[in-house]
Amino acid sequence: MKYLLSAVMLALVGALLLTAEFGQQQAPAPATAEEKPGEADRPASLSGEPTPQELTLDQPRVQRQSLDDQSRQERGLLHRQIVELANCHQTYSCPQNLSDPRASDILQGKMLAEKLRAYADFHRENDYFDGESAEMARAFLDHPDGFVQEAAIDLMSMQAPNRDNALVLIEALESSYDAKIVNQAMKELQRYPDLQPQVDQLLAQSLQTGSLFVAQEVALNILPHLSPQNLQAFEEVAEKLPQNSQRAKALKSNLREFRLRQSGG
Amino acid sequence: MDRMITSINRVAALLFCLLGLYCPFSLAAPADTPDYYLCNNRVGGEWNFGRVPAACDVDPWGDPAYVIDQFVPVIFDDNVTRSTERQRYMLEVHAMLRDSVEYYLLARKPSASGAEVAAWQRANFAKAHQETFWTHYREATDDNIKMVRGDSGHGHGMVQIDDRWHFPKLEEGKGWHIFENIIYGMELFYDAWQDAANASCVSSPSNWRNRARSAYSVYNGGASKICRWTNPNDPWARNDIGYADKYDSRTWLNYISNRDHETTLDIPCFMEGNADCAAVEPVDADDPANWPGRQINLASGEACRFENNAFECVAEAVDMLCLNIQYGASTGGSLSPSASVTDAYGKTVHEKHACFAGAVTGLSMVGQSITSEVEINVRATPGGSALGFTSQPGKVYQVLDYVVDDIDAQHRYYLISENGKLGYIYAGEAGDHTSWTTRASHSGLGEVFIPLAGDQIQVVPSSGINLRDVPAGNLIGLVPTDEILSVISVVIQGTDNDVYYEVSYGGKTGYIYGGKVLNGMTLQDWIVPYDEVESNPYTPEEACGSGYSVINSHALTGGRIYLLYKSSTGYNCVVTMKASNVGTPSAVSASLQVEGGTKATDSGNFSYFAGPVKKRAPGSCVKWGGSIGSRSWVSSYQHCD
Repeated sequence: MKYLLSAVMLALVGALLLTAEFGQQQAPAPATAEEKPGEADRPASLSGEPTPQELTLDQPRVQRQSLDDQSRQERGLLHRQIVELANCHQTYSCPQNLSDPRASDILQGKMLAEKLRAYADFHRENDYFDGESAEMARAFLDHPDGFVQEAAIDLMSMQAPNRDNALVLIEALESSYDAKIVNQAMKELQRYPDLQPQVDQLLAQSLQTGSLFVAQEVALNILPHLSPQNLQAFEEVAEKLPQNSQRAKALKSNLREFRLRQSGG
Repeated sequence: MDRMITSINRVAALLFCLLGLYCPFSLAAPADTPDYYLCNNRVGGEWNFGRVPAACDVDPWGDPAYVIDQFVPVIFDDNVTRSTERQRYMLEVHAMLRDSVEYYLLARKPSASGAEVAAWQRANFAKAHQETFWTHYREATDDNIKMVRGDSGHGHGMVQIDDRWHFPKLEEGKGWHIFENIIYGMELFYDAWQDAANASCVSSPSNWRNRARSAYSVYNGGASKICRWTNPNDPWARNDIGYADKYDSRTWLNYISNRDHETTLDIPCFMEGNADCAAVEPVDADDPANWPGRQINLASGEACRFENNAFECVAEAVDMLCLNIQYGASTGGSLSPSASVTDAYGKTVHEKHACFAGAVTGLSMVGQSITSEVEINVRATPGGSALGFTSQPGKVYQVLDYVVDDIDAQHRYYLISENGKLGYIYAGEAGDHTSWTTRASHSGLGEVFIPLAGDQIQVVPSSGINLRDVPAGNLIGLVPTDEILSVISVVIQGTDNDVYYEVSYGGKTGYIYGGKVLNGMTLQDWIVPYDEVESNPYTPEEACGSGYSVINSHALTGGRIYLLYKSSTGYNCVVTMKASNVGTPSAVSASLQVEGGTKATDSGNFSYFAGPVKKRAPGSCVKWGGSIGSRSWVSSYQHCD
């Protein structure tokens, strides 16, 4: 239900954005591959002055401020397809496959993930992200299908940090049992030092009463999230865990490693 | 004959589908695995507890020897009279499931009431019945250890993890390993169980029957089907009806002579992800008279022998063999007494590597090198899930960890790096270990993780590494970053295989920490082998071009990643300079991402360096990184000025 509401919100926001005016396109400088030594003769650039190729690379590459009409239409089409697919239960238009009880849900998730990836590719190729693309990621961060969630986190990670998205992601992870998603999200959440208290709370909860597989994953990958501020709290968590558990062993191992890093070895 | 078996199975599978269990049809899927993928020596079965068709060899998904070693009570033996064996099997599986599902619920929800625990158990019993009639392992008449494969071979294990949707999970062992399998099933089911508490079709959270039905509808049909069981016209209503029938009838009880029977499987040990768990003995664990000769698991985590009125321990139970060699073979299984009883006795914890040194014939220690004599499956854990590739005969590997079991045979497993991944290989037993691996020279290594005496190393941390009088001892100095040192000796200690290098610096000789191997390898964050730093004819400045200056770098085994900046243009540049295999094309990459922008990567088989990757980022943070071979590194967002 939460997910369906998000999808409706996405449709509304999307409709607003699609009617907005956009400015003129500023073409990005083309990326030019440099020839490396070993693959051919040593290029002149390596001996000192930049070559014309290098000067091309050095042209300021500024993120686009707007999209041209054709790109806007392309994005609009992708957007509509995603919204329609996300709301298909309300419109009785979901893709059907009755060969297996879960087949229809899995098919819908697969198609949604593909569309989200196409949407992300579009924005990456155009080097253009805005409020709509941030909202698009947010709408699917708590999707029950792991492939859709993965695509949404990928889309989120391409963009500038967005506090609202991070809060939605944190909430979605509270009940996650997908260790791969949690691992991916932990990397993304490193971009939000201001939200570390919320992240700490999430990780502590995951370690103690979260999915058993997720708890192990958190314990193994917690090192980048440790800080002098939260060290004691996680040490207390480690003592509360079953001492013969892999989650306790991995957490204690990384707490010790953190202390070694703090002290210089 | 094969054709006949196939036809029978198709008919049976269709029948099973019509009964609302699992169906033999496939559809376009993320993993387009064929029917009965990696299904060796398939056998049929019957539609009764413990033996539904079909079953295929555990190998190559997992190690059948490991299954026999750990899970004998829950293997259905086809060589015993069927009815007798079914009674025994159900008694054991009931005890295992009863305790496992209770453990799971209380781990997730410590405040769960007794009524909820009982309801959760019943809901899971019915689910296991609906999925596979409680079937998982079988020892067939061909004497091979098998696991159930339903749905034309796509469904793996008691909870039927489908290889078309969950292939990566199956590669991790969530099909063949019975505890991984039932935990994975419970992870999905618990999520549905929690949601069902607030479902519109469940009158109250304590309406356990309806809650179980809703949870099953989600488990079987997906998140949007939480009230499917209320719709008799749903195409899959028969599944919900079938589940309710099983929930109500509890047919499994007809086969269980004692509902209080205690399993010898160490449920907390397996549920908490441990691979090697000694059998639990049904004696009073708190009675010290029962302790001698048995493995005593202390509440503080150590595994011990009780000798001369005191505990002799290792930090982890997996290393018990070194104590058993010292004190004689364990005569029984394991006991887990309460801390209030054990705290009254003294305790000595033996360091793993010191305990094993010289104790096992022909065992190679961490840091030593071995040659693989044959192709050996590389597995995620000792005897665990196959990673899908083998060691290469004739290739030299550095031992990064070892595990030994069975005091008589002394089976040994080594952790190695192959195909860019870490995994364990079986390396034989006391009598035949040289048929599997032989000791090799350190100089024969292609990839050095732990430099040894005589090697040179370079310090990685920008703040240097403390020099101490003994490993983890008193501070006597500081070795600065990039300093090149000669290794005098290497000490490996602790359960994480911590590495300490004895070195001389500033007129003092002492030890520097070099990272850990297990629970997340950190070796390359502390030191890199310097002898691999071959002369590269190019410099980072040359690679990036005129005006660039190095502002940061990170060492990797085989080279170094550099971040450079050109103040006149505001451009950053990343290059990864090779320091091994220089002049020969090999895999190397460099990447750069400006915060809020896209990541640019240059990767390929290059002779000298990867990159330059350039982006303009005045006033913005950048994330930079690269890789050399199987080693990779990426920074956090930094250099924001």
